[in-house]
Amino acid sequence: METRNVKKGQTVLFVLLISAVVAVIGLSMSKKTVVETKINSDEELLKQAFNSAESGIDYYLKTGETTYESEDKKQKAEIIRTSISAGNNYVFEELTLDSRKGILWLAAHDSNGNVDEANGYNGGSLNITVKDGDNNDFVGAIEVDYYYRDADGKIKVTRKGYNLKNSNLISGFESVSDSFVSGFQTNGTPLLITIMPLGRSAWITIDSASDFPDQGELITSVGKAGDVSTSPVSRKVKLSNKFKFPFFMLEAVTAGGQITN
Amino acid sequence: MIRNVFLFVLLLFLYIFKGFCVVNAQVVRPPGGGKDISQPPAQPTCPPCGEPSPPADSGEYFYYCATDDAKAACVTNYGDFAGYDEMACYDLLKDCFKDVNGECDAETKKKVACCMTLITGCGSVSNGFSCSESEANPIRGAKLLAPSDTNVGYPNECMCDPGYQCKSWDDASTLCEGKIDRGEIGIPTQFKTKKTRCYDSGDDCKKACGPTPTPYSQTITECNANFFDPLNPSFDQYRMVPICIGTTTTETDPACLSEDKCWRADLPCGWRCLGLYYCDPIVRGCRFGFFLRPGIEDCSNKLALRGMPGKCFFTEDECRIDGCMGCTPQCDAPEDVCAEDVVSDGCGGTCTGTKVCTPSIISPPGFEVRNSSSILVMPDGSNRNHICEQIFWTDQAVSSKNVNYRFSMSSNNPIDAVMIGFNNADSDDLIISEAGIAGGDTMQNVTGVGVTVDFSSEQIGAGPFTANFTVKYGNNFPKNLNAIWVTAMDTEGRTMPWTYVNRTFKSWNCDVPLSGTLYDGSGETDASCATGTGFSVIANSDLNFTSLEYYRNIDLGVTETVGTNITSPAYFNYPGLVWGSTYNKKFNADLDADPGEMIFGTKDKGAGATSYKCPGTLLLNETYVSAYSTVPEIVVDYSTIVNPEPWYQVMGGGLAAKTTIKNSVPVTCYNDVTVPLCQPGISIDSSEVGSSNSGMVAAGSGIDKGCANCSYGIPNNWDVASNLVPAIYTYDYFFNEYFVKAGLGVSLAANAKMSDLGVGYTGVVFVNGNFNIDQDNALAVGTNDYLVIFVNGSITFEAGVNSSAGIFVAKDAINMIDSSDTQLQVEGLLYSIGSDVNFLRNFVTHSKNRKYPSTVIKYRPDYLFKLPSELVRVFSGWKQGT
Repeated sequence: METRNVKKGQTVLFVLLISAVVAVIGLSMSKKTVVETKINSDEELLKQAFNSAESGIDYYLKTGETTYESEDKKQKAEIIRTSISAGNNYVFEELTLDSRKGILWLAAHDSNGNVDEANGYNGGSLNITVKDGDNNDFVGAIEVDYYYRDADGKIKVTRKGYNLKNSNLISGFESVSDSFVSGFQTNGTPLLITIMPLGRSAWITIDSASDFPDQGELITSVGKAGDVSTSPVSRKVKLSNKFKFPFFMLEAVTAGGQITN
Repeated sequence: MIRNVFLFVLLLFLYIFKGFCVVNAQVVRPPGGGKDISQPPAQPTCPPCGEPSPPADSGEYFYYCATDDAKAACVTNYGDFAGYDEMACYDLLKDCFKDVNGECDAETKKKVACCMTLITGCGSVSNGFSCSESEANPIRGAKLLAPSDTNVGYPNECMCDPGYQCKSWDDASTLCEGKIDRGEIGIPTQFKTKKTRCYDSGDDCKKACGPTPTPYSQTITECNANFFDPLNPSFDQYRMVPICIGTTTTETDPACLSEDKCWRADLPCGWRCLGLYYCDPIVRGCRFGFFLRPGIEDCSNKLALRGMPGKCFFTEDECRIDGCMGCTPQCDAPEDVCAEDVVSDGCGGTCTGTKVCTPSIISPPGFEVRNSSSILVMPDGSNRNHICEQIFWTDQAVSSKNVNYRFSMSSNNPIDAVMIGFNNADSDDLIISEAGIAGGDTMQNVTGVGVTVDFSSEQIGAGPFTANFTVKYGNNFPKNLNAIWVTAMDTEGRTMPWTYVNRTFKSWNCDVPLSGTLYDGSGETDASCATGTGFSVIANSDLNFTSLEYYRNIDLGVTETVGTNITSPAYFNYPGLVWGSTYNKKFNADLDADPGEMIFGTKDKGAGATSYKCPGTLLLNETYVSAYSTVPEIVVDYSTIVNPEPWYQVMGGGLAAKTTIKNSVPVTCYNDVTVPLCQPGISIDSSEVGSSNSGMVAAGSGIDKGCANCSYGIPNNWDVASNLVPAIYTYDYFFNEYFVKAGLGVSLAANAKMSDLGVGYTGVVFVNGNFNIDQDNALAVGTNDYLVIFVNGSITFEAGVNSSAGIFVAKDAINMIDSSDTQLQVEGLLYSIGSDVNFLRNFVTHSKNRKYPSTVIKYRPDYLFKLPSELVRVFSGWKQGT
């Protein structure tokens, strides 16, 4: 009779042990679910804030308005516009790739992005300094195209080529012993200058005695989401909006295949 | 005068008996072959005039006729009185010939007659034998005397220079008074072979007789007074034998008679002397001296008088053997004996002199050629000259054809005869001889045809002699190359052998026949005169070649034009352009007016040239057609690309292709000379948009610009093997960025046309498919008009479109198609995003491709600055943060 009672006690303990394990596991699962719910909620707000920032920029580009608010009032963006100033020593912001043209506007633009020749570069001589990707002297060639308006009001262009460091890379280019061109003389009303490195990519700097006009604008949009009035989630987007031509507009004929007769 | 005749005869005998000795034996052969001109000119034909050669005209000689043997003709001998009665003696060889003429057989008579013609210049001689007028020397003015003439007593005889007619040794006028033939003083009447011509006045006769004295007229002879002088036993004094000295007569110097050295003036003193040999004990050799006839006695007496009794002999051999045993040969003063002379050594041997007596050319100046203005003419590298050289021209149109030849000579004695010979390469030679120069009465003889000659000379004493021939070439002068030789003879008969003067000269008519062919070089991308490429396919009648003229300036404001003979379809010729001229050409109007320019090359056909030379203009000079060819002749061939492939040209901008750029800029554009000149480049300047704005020609996989000499760009001849076309754009990108986002432009359905937009449309257009340019449009400079067309397919410029403006962007190809006779001009730019730009448009008149591109793209930089701002901004640098 005693044996039978011992066996019943072991069973109860086993059941209790299993129950405890199950309880522990159950409690643990419940806490994780709460945390993840919390994270997903933050990311959504951030996405909403990012989208608000993007929408703000689009809204700005279309309307020029610097404040954006969605129709449901849940998204909002504040736009801040600053000019990209060139000063009198303009360093191209990016490495100008081999066989591509970097652009420096010599004519100004108005607030609508239209060309404003009256407030552009005053003219004079330019110095063009070229360094390679490692910031060493550039051994290669550059083609410089200068656009201007002449005294008769006609827009014209003249093209020059230089083999820097006497590279002799391009037949017909002027040979220059240094890696810079000094005293590039402008004439007429300066409008635009393009510089194309050949042989390798280049860092290009143009300086002059006079200031160059702004080369575009930097648009900063701060998008908000969530409780936009009290504790919003915010996201900032910056956009460089430079006045720049698609490359094909600087050539007479361009083909992704061949040019033939 | 007599001397002159003798010299001339001697010169002729040189031809006949001695030939020409080539001292300067250079080998000169004409370029074109033919006769060897390295030898002196051919000898003129002249019958022999008896034998032996005539001696010098010195006083101690007489000519006599061997009457019993007429063929022996005239021989010479010392004036031996012993034979005087039997022989007719003459003081002139010609007279001797005349007299024996009647005894000769017919052949000899003929020879003698003709020889006389040459000697005397007379047109006829007596006894019925005559030479033609052309055979006679006209310079002497010889003519027959008519019976009515004043030739008393000797009608029908040859009358020559009046100087021959005088037969007196004294004042001829005295003899002629009353026109009476008084016979010849001192000469037996049977020897009256001279003519007598009398004059109305003594002065005329004196003038005709020439200056006195003549050798026999006023001199007397003294036998050698110094035949032996123990006190002064120099060899020269013994040998010097002054036969006739002084003018002393008994009337003026009675003492001379007592000394037995004077004679009457009417007898030749030499007849009183006899040459004998005696043994000279001092020099131990036989010597020669003159003694009073009969001679032996006088000789012996004089030897005895000098304390040297001995014998005198008629010959040197007798003297040496019989009277002068042990004779010691001795050559005395060879430096005073001319090199060509041989003198006795006194013992039977001979001595040769060393003195240079023969005339020779002085160099410098040597032989010279000058023009009619006496300007020195230098030879070419082969020592040649010819009459058509510019320096011989007095004007551009007509050559004077006068050439002056000069040479200077040194000689021991005065030069008396000179000859210049032109050894013709393949024709008869020309020989010009001048004789009697020293006497101041020059006789001239010219063999050959087609020239007249002016001659002058200058010489002071035995100083340098300058001969000056001005030869006036006629049109019938043989047209070939002549090697020039000269010879001369002095008053002693010493002759410079024929000497080549290292110069050749050609007289010709300056006509250069021309022939040529017009070729079609259409199949050649690099037709070139230098390589001969393009000169293989003869042009067909499509070229419409109907006329070709050449013209040249022959004087200020005067142009001569000649038209060639055209043989269809492409051949032409002309018989005679003028050598030395520069010609311009003129084709029939449609060929001349046609765009492009022909290239041409010349071949010197006369010289056998087979490759082209490439002058800029047609120059008929030695470089291109040799005047020294046997027949100077030139070939002028033209090549033109009749139907070049269509080609295109960009103005004011560059070209960039991902793969290749192929164009066919024709060589006719490169060779163009018509204004405005074709610019042979893929990219050229556009003056409308500035200067120096031809752009870079860039392709990733190679560039074929067309003709090899053409340029990538003008003036910026730039090319680079690089892909300037990044694959960053698509049609959808442009559509979304500009149409969708920026709200720019309008959108058209596929297959829209420019005409759908209407004339003057401005703005941005998106076409969702192919687009055709089917009508012209323009965007004025200075306005804000612009047109940008983005096409989601291909763009085609139709043949009916002549001008179009805008920025044309196609996802696929951009094509200029079909044909038009109008050039397509696109003002703006083209961009095929993912395919090709095909300039297939051609001119209907294919020949227009020779000068004009069928399509021109004019880059318009003003577009960049009036496009809406949305098109010219680039967004970059997205960043995000809190």
